Amino acid sequence: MPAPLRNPFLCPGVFSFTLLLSINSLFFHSCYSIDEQGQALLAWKNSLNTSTDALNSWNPFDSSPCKWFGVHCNSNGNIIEINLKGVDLQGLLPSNFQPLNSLKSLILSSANLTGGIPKAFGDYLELTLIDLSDNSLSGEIPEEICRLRKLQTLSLNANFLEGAIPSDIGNLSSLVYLTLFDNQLSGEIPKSIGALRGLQIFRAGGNKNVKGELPREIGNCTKLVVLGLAETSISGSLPSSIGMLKRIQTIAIYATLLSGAIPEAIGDCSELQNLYLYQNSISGPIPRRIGELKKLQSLLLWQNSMVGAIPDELGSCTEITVIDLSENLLTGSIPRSFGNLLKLEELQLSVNQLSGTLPVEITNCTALTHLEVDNNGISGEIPAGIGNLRSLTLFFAWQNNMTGKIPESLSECENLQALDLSYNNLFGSIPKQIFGLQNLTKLLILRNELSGFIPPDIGNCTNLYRLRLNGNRLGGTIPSEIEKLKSLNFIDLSNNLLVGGIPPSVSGCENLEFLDLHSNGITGSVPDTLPKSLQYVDVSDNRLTGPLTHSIGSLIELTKLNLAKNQLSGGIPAEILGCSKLQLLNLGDNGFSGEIPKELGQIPSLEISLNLSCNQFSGKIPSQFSDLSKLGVLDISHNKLEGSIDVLANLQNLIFLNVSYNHFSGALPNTPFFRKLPLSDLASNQGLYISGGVSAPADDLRAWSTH
Amino acid sequence: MTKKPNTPPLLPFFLALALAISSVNPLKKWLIFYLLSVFLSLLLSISPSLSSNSEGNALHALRSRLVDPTNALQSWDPALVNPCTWFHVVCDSNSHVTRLDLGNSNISGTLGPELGQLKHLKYLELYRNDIGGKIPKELGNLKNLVSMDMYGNKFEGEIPKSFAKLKSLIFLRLNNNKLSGSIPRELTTLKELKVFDVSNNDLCGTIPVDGPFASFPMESFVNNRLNGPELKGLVPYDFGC
Repeated sequence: MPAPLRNPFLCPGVFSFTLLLSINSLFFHSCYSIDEQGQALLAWKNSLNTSTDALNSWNPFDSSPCKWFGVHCNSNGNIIEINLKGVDLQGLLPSNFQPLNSLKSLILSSANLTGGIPKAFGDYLELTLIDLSDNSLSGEIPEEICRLRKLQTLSLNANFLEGAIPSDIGNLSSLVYLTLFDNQLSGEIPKSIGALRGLQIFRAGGNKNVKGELPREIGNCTKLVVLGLAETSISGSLPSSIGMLKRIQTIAIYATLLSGAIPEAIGDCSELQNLYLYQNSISGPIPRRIGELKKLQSLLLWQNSMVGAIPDELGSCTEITVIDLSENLLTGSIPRSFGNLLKLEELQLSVNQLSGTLPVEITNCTALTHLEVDNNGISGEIPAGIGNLRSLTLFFAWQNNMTGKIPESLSECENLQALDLSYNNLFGSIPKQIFGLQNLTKLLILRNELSGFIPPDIGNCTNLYRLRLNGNRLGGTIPSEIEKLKSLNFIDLSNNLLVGGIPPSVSGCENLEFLDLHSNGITGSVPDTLPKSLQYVDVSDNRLTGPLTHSIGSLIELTKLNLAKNQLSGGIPAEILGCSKLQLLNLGDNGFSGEIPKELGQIPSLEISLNLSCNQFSGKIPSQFSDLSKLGVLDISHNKLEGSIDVLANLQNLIFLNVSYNHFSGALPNTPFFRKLPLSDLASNQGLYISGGVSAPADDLRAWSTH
Repeated sequence: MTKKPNTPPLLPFFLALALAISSVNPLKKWLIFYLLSVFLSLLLSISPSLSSNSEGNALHALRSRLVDPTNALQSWDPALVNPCTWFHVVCDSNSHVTRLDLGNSNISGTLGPELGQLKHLKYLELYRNDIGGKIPKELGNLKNLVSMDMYGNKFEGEIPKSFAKLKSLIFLRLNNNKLSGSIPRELTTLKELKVFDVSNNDLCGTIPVDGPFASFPMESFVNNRLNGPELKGLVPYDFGC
């Protein structure tokens, strides 16, 4: 007989099991009431190594994640934006966000994220904005990301991403902002970039290994406003299709391998404001059509190999504020049309082969602050109207062929801080009014043909810091008004025709560190009152008389002292020991007498050179000279010194020694250095002989006639 | 602003002359060649050497690596056309830096590869400071160097093998640092080396005995972990150091 069919659910075992199961599932749902989107977020949160409190609100017991920090939802309760900018996440990017099928905006910048961009990002198809900038992301940009047809913003800048820009980047048909700068990307810029018809910002600079040419197709990105490829290895020339970019405002392709000529088509970029093409290998001329760029403000083409003349047409760019064409091979004259550039602030044309004159019209550019035309072949005079440039702070015209006088009107440039007219053929005197410029800190007119005097008005120039008038024909005396120059740090008046003494009032120059007056006709003695700040003093080749003042020892910062070729007399004061930092001392070609003071041997820093030659020093070399272990060059020739030169035997660092024309005696020290000394450095020392083993007679050292 | 040397356009001139020379007899050929080289050197000496600011740039880069509490480097203004009026710098008549005198200057920080660009440097005096880090191998490019005094600092790492290129070197004092590794055997080729001091470091291996090393006193090597002089005829190189 068959067993009766029973309802399994009425079976007691099964019944209680099902009951248990249903009770369990009830519990299950109430423990994890958060939806799938929240779960995905939590799973990602758990993968992070973060210790931040910011994600404390990410609570699995919430019913929805929409109130969580950094999470924003739409009216349907679907997550549309995640913004954790600046939160210290310390983990990887999420590859499990597929459930967030409404996610439009993912902002995870400056979040201390590492690892690569997961291929899974290609699944987040609703994304319009991805910002992963300023993290430590590595690896390549996955091709999969190019599936995101709705993506408008892709910011991956400031990471460590490598590999090439995906070749299908053109598939991101909605892309408006693409920033990849400051990574370690390589490879070429894909031609498909031309398909990004809506692209406005493209910045991929700061990727040293991005190479190849800028594809011609870039011309198709007709909405482009900013193009940035600086500090890459982009090569070849700028394509003429650049002219198709009617909205472009900034082209920044500097410090690359860009070569060839700038296409004339650039004249079509009617919105162009900033053209930065410096530090490249661009050749050819500056295109004439640049004159059509009515909105151009900043033209930086410096350090290239551009040739030809500066086009007159540039004078039509009336909005321009900065022109830097330095370090090229430009020829011809500075265009007179520059006089129309009323907003021009900086004109830098240094280091070219420009000729002709500085056009008078330039004095119309009343907004000019920086005028640099140095290192060219500019001739003619400085225009008298230069005084119109009231805003001028810096005027460099050095190393040219300029002639004429320095115009008095320069004194009207009341904001002038630095003036360098060195290495020209300027003549006449320095107009005294120039020293009325209260903001002038640097005045450099070395190596010209200036004559006349240094006016007492120099004292009015109270901010003067650096003054170089060396290599001219300036006469007269150094005005005592110099004491008013409290800021003066550096003064070089060498190689002129100055007479009179060094004014004792120089003590007023409390910050003077460098004093060079060599090769003049300066008389009188070395003042007692030299400023204690001095590190370098050169008054050689003058007509100084009298003794070397004892107060020389108060110059405790002095490292180099050159008083050679004067008529100083007396002895070297023992106080010289106070110059404890002295590295170089040259007192040669004077009338010094007496014994060499032992104190010279006690100056530990005396290492560069000690020259006492051509004086009347007598007596022996002080035994302390054996302590001058760092001394490299010693010249005590042409004196009346006697005794032995043994004391010099162990000077380890000596590479040049001249003791000739003295009365030294005794055996030559038997060291390799002395054995190799040229005889001319020992000559005319009657008693000096080369000891045994050498067949040369002692006569050898007497063969030369005495001084 | 950096400067580029002004090179005269010589190529077309050369080509024209090459054409002329090829058709001329041997004696005249040598005469033309001689005149050409005289003319060339004249031309090159007339055009102003603007490259000295690359030396200023190198020194400026050095300054940014150093810590200078007593402002020894205050005068190092990179806006000047060359560094020849900077304190602690000496140039020759062609405005090339020949000396750097920064001994006893309370300086710390590190050195960088830029120093190797000072091609005319003869004296590198950095002794008794607090400079640390490795000695840049680029210092081996200083082919005119006569004296290198870096003693009394905190230099670490090895003595660069590239020092073997310092063919003019007479004085090399690296004592009282924290240098490690062995004394590069290559230094025995420095024929002019007269004074060598590596005492008070952490060097290991053997002491070279060839070339100038035959005359250096033992004091030059004390207070290291050196095994003693290299034994001739046995292993000619260091191992296990």
